[in-house]
Amino acid sequence: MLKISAVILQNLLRNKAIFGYLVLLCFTGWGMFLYESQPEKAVLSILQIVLLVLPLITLIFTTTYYYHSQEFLFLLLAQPIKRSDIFAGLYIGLAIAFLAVFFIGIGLPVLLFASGMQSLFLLLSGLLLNLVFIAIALLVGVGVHDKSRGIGVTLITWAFFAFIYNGLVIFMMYQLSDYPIENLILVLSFLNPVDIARIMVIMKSEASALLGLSGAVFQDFFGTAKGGVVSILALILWSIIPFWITHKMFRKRDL
Amino acid sequence: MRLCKKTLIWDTSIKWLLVKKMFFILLFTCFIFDAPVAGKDIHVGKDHTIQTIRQGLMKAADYDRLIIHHGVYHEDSLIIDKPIEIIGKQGAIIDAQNHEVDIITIVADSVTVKGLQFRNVGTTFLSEPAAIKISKCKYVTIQNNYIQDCFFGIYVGNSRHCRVINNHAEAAFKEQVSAGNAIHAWKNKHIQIHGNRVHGYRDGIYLEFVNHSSITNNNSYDNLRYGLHFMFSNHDIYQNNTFRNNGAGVAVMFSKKIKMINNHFVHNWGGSSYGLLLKEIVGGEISQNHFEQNTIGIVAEGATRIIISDNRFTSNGTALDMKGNSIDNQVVRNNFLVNTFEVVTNTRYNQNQYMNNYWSGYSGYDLNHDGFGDVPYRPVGLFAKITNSIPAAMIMLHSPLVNLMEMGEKVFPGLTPEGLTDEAPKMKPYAYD
Repeated sequence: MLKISAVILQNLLRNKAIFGYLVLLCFTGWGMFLYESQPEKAVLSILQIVLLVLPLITLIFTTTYYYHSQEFLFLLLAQPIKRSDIFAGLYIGLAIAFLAVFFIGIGLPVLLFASGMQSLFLLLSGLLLNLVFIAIALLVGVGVHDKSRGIGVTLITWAFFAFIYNGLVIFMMYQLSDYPIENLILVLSFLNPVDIARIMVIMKSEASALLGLSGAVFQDFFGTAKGGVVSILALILWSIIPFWITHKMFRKRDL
Repeated sequence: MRLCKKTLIWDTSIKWLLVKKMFFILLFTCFIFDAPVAGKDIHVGKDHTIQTIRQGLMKAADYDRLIIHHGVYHEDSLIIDKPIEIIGKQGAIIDAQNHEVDIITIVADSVTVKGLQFRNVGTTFLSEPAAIKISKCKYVTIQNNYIQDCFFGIYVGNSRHCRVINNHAEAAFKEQVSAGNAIHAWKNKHIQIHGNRVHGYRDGIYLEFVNHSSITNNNSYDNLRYGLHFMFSNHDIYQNNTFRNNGAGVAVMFSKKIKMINNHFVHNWGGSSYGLLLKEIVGGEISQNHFEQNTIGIVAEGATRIIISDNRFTSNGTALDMKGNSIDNQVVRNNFLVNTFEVVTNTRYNQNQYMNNYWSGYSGYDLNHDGFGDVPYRPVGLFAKITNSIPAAMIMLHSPLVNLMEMGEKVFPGLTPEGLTDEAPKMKPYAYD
């Protein structure tokens, strides 16, 4: 399994797109701090990168990479290797590559220029989002045979998590604003990994008290250590469930 | 030439003699007329003939000095009705043993209380017992005292020209309703509250009907309600104070022409907390203050004709909450650095002026390089508007969708107040200090 990971990692390191992604993250991560005199502001800008760009690139790259390396995977499948090992190897290889890029591009500058609870949570949520979206991308790749349809599905997935879902929630808030909807929103925010990551970070920052009286529910939940642990567990769950489904599919299905 | 020099010397020596003479005459007269003022020293303590402060007070004549030596004195209800000076030596403690009465009540002018320690005044809601109560006096000085666990610390009522300087009042009240104020001033004129350290009370400093007074260099922290509280007080100034970690920093209510200069409002944090509340106040000046990490920096409700200038707002939830009933205020030359919301308002019409501020959310350009941006800035965001109507929407803070909507609103303003713009925002932050 690890051998397969190593092979895939080697292949990924030679990949131009990964290199380009690294350059992009380095520019934003390091550049933001060098350009911006207020580190708090830079952290917020990086949060936007983590919430928007990171899922998009992870999703698109992983699905295309899966489609491209399908022949190689078939070759491997012809060997006496367990299917689950091949799949896990693929996932681990991709995860290591993305995490390394994320760490060099975003992690190092954030740790260097803005150490603090908020930055730590920013990095943690970034790392977990990587794992979540690699798993989701592989789910799409394995689930959808046609390549162009697959890419389309990933794009829609991205738009859904980044924009559409929040739009629906805000719409719902307007419709139900006369009711105590805090608990409902609390539950709804766990249905979107991007939201979990975002809330995890803002709860460690200035916003925690902004929530005011009506937001006491959020504060009681997310503001405490328990809330942090639950959010992290939720993100881990968000990566395990797609991984597990895909894993099952990959083992059983006629590829 | 020589002659001339001689006369000059003669001249100066005569002058010098005259000055000397005058000096002695003056000294002499001083001696005669000041003799009763100097008074005598009366020592109170275990090693002295006078053992209790009450005895000492009875012995003392006008302008005497009562020196209280080391020891714990279980006394209270001491009434000072003549102009004397009470000086506590190191370790002189007056303990009221939780009796619900004042420890010292001053009813005479020109009294000085220095260097004493007071503790354990009990709580009652029938009267307002304090460690030191000043009632209908002039020129009283309360200095360098340490007050611990008293219901009220220093209570100044109906007085003029009194000074409360460098005292330290400490308590550990749990609930607002059963807590007193550290320094409580009621119906005074020309009083000076300087260099005090107050913490753990309901209000650090409370002023009601106090005019023409100054509150300077105080440090008020960890109080349950306000660090400093003005009610119906006019023409006062507070300067160089620090308000940290209070229920809310400062509340200025129903007052006129208050000057607030160079204060620090730090970490007044919580669901309904804020740095500075302006409620129904007219005139005045808020300048060179630093608002840092408050849930809301300034809340202005019914504030009129106030100049808010040269302040720094750093890392607040909301920097400035200008309610719709605040009019004709000027917000100029302030730094707004990394606040989640810069300005929030609940009206669509703007009746205040915003000019030449630095906004860290500004992204315009400056073609003629005069240091001010060419594109007006709208400090009220769409998201602030949304959360104003649905507080629960705050959970969407920094969400990509919200940012997208915010951007659209900046280009085509539809919902945010139209006139609320800074026509010439500063490109770079002002450098203070």
